[in-house]
Amino acid sequence: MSRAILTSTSAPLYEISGLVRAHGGKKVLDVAALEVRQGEICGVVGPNGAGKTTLLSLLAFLDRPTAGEIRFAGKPAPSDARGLVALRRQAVLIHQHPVFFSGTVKKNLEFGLKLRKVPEARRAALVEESLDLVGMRPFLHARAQSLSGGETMRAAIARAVALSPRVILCDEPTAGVDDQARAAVARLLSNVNREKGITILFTSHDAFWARNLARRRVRLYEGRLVPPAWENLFHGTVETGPDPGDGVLVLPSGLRLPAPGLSPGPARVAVDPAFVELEKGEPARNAPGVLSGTVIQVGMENGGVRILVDAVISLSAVLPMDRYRKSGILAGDRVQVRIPPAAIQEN
Amino acid sequence: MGYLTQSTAAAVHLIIGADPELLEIVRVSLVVCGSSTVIASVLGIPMGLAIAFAEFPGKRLAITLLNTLMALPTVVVGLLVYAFLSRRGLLGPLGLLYTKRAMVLGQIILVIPLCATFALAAVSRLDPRFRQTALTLGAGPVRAAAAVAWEARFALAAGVAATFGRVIAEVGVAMMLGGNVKGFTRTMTTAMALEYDKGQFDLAVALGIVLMALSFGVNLVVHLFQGRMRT
Repeated sequence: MSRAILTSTSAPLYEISGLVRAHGGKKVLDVAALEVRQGEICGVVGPNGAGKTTLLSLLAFLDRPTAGEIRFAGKPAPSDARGLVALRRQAVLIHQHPVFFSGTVKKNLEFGLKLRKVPEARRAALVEESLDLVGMRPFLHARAQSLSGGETMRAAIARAVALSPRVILCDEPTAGVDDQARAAVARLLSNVNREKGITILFTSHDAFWARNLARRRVRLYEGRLVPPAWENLFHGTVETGPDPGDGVLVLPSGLRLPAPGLSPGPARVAVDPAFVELEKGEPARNAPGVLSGTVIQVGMENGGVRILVDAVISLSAVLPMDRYRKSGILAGDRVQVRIPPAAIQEN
Repeated sequence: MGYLTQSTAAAVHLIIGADPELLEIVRVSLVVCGSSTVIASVLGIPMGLAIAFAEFPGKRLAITLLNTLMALPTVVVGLLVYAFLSRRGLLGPLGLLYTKRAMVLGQIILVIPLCATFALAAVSRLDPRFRQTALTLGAGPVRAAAAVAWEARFALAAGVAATFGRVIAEVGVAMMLGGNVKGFTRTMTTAMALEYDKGQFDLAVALGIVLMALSFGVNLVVHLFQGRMRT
């Protein structure tokens, strides 16, 4: 996974320390430390009222912290109006329910470009290119305020992408859109990150959706970052072939897990249960990350289903309810376990 | 009621016949009130936007003060400005008293709070995400305020119409600072007051009809503007 390599090697874009935002003496956000690296997709997951929107407003430099510091691209955030405008032009916020000014989609996409004094011909090209990216080109001359929820979100992503910021901050990008549109939004953000190299920081109350989009997620609860629930922890030795992308973690039991991007030698990894794939039956092939095991426990968890598998190693998997129903897996079944490289996080 | 019927008939006759005195009074009214409305809007709308968006100590007090000033009696403004413009006043040497400029000045002071309050209310009612969107897309405070004002343009237009309505209908400032000089500072309201004093209602009723027609016309234009821009 190129993202994994980017995450571990690229420079930090945001460095947050001791960040506090209080309203009327009550702390609504209190983040001791957080780092977001350039080029990564990072998800902030938490329930409603956890302080996610407050955090994004601060990171978009639309609000000022009560205490603490936000460093952006290695420099402290300025406090003067001119400096703030320059900074905001590198960090575009997309609201939970984005708003558009009256006029056409084109006029709205041109708004930020005109502020940046982009010449007319270049403006037109950027607007069309961005709309192409989100599949909204036919809406170029449509009235922006008459778009549906999903179209509005896509157009808002295009509006942000057209400005080529260093980071796009997305506040609950799937709120108010149907399941199909949610998957489309995830694909779009992923594309934007991959093709444009724009860092994506998003918030979501939906842990499953967030897991599919972002390798790195932080959890916010009552204004504070809470440690990730590390599980499926394994230690072993990383062996690499001629291509570092082919790294394999060999466990003491002899099992082999994919470990792309990890340096050779001893390592400890966590396998994200949301990424573990299960299928009834025996594995058809023998490859790193493909195991065979027996389901020993099935239980409900936060709208999903947690399945504990004994596959020489004890492994937890969490499936969304619809996928679990399709799988038909029950306790005692023999299952094929597949651990994709995206599930592996160095710990 | 007989006099009203007679006067109305005579008034219609004056209007249809384009009576020169009537036209001159209407012209003066439009020049004075048009000028004060434009200037008060140019000053008052940004003032309202600034109060709406800026965070400063005493903001609530400033809003309360503006609301209070909306109820400012025209004669109080007339008196206040008279004190400055009269021969013994601070601005006496400028010789502005009993001129159209003095009337415009007085009317601006009268309606700036009204205009600013309308602007403040118009943008405060608007979704705050409009301003945040403008800012996050890279606008400075002034450009963001302009973008928000454009979104609130219907409410702002209604505010400007209300401002015009206030100045075209007021009599205190026009009388005290203009002096009701025939052909020079005589406006529709001061002329109506004079004609009433004289017991001559023909011109007064004619002016009343024109005044109402003008107010209706201005509001009709605003209404059409709102309708056209929405479709």
